[in-house]
Amino acid sequence: MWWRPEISETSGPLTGRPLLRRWAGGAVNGLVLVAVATGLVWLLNRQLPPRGLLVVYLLAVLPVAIRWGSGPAVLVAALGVVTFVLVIAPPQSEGPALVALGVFVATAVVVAGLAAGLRRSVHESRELAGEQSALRRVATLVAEGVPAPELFEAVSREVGLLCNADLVRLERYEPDGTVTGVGSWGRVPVRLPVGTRIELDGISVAREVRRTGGTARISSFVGEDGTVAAEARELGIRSSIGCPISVDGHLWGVVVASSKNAKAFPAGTEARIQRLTDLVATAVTNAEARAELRRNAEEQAALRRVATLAARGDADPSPVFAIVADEVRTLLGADCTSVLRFESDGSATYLAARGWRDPNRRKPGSKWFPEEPSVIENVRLTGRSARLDYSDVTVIQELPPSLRAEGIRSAVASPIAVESRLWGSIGVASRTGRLPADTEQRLIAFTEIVATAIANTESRAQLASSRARVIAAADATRRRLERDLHDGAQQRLVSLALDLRNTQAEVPAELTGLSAAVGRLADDVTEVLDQLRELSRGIHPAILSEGGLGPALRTLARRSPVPVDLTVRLDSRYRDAVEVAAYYVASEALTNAVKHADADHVEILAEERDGALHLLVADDGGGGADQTRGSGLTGLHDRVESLGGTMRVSSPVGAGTRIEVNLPLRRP
Amino acid sequence: MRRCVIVDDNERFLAVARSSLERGGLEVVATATTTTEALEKIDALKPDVVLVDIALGSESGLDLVRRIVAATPSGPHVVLISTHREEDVAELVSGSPAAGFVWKADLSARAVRDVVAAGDQ
Ligand SMILES: Nc1ncnc2c1ncn2[C@@H]1O[C@H](COP(=O)(O)OP(=O)(O)OP(=O)(O)O)[C@@H](O)[C@H]1O
Ligand SMILES: [Mg+2]
Repeated sequence: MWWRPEISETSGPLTGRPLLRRWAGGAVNGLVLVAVATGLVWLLNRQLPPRGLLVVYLLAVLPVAIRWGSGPAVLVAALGVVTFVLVIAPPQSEGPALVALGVFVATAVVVAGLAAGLRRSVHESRELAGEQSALRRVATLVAEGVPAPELFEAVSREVGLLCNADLVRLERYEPDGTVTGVGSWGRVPVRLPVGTRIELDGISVAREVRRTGGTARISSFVGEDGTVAAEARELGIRSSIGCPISVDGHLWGVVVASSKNAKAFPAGTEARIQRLTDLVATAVTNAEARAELRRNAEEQAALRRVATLAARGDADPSPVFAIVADEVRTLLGADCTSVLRFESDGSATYLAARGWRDPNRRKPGSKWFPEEPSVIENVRLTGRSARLDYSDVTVIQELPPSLRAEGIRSAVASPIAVESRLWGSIGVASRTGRLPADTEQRLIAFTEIVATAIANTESRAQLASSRARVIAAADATRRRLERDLHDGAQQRLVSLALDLRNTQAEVPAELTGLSAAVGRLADDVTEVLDQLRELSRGIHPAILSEGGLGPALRTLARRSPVPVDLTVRLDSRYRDAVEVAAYYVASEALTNAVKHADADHVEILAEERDGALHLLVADDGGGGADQTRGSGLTGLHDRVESLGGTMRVSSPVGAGTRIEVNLPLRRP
Repeated sequence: MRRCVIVDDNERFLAVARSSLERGGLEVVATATTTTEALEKIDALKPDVVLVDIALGSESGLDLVRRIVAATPSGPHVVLISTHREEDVAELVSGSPAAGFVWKADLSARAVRDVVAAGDQ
């Protein structure tokens, strides 16, 4: 277009053009135009009155005014008027020529001003259009929710193109005073890649922005110290500007644009960058909200997994500790975790540990002894969450022995409090840097579940042991009853019966009536003895205490109306509770097989297997046993569980009934 | 077969049993209430037959039987006795080296001889 400046539009408005070139261009072109105008005037001079021809010189003045500004145009006007006066004008025309010069100058100034204004507004509107489309592109990315790294990269590029920078970096402020590069773009090779943490130790735009909370500008790195200044010098960067990125009213990060040109960023550049960074803030808010959501979901899922396991309330909670160690490590992005139980002597016991270079020291059951500095020790002493930044410990020898070789930089531990007593601790550690500020809080969700699991287990254990005590007490009572019967009534009646037989034998032969009467007495006593025997057998089988499980099971099998195939592979006596439980299981199962199964055959197997007494009773009857219909099977369950054993009943309809019991031989 | 030792922790039964056996022609050379006492007397008196109660208070008559047999394999015949019926302790009797079992209420010299004779066959 005719008004378009002849040099690159990116070099800024008219005023930005080098002065000398402008004047030289104006002068040379003006000279040519004046010559052309003079030729034209000379030709026209033959037909027209010469004075009116002065106006032709406007043809030289106006283009110069438009393209090179008012200064060169004024020069051209003067040149034109002087040439006219000297070459063409008749004598005494200086007066009108002077008037014409005045008009020319005024016209030149006005036209040049108009042209410059027009050019400026066109330039601004192009810039605005460029900025608008940059904003639109970024906004689209934000709306599409592209991953943060991609967005940061795109924003860096847009800023770079928009303000014609050589290098753009997007940096996030960290709580420890450093910044992390999250996006970058450059026409020069980027020396500090994304993800690098930069100490703000010397001069830097980022530091200025953090200090003031507003935009900042640096126009020279010469003679300055620090990481940023060093990089700037290396890349030949001479000026930088930065704009803050504020998220929810907090300074989140900064965009820094740098250029090798010392005057690269005209006033107003900050405002344009700022419009883009506002979008970044929105994106960050979105991304953080999404990340938070995802993190929440992951955390919930992890907690659910742990809670499910904990809710099973198994007698042995160690799987809970193992899964907690795993989940916590993944979820909190920690390198190492450990779960410990505090002991009354001030030491602690490892329950689970993950990710340590020295896992032997931390095997489940291994001891931990108080050491300092250590988060576990701090939790033990205070009962509260603790945090330590080992990067502060400069001398490796100051670290406790267990941590010296671990390369830990940051550690956090939280207490496990079971029913308001300090029970243990979960600790996490990082080798790469500070653990996030919310680590303590997130750990607590896990310590609470673990505490619940432990409380469950403990109360279950208490319940089981009190149930075991109740059953044992009942068994003891029955045993005593049986003993008392045996040692008392039975013993006396036996002696009495024998005595009566003796007496009968001594009755003189002629007293047949008396002899018969004594004989009847002896028979009566024997009958009472038999009744007593039934009674005491139901109370407690004497054979079990006298002979142990093998003979007792053989007695059961022999008496059973349904044939029993019995295998006993036991060669020692076991503690009472175990023998009694096994006997009752066999006895009840056999009774059921006779009563309900309509079985032809029952198999009983008793053997010692891996430290447990294994008992199997299987019948070939109708199956369909349902422990809710009676009290026999339920009672067996109670008895077996109270001893820490397991009992499985499988009784598909039509396929017989199998009862399998495992009783640990050692006390739980 | 004449000389007999009874091992039982019930004094009254010992008295009744002695008179019952002696009437049938078995001489009760000694009675004992504990394992140790029984082993001493058996060793000293070398009886032909020993009657052992399965339930010897806190001690086990079955153990005593094993120890008697182990001490002198060609020693006395051992017969288990009990207030329990044979049916209830059959597995214990058959699992022990005793010659047999007599229910205490049925005890007589003849019953003992029958059991020993049956055990010898
Ligand atoms: N071996 C079996 N075969 C078939 N059905 C069985 C068997 N054992 C149990 N059942 C069924 O399961 C129910 C529950 O058995 P359980 O032993 O708990 O109670 P019960 O025998 O009915 O009564 P209780 O044992 O209290 O005297 C029985 O009523 C019976 O219907
Ligand atoms: Mg039943």
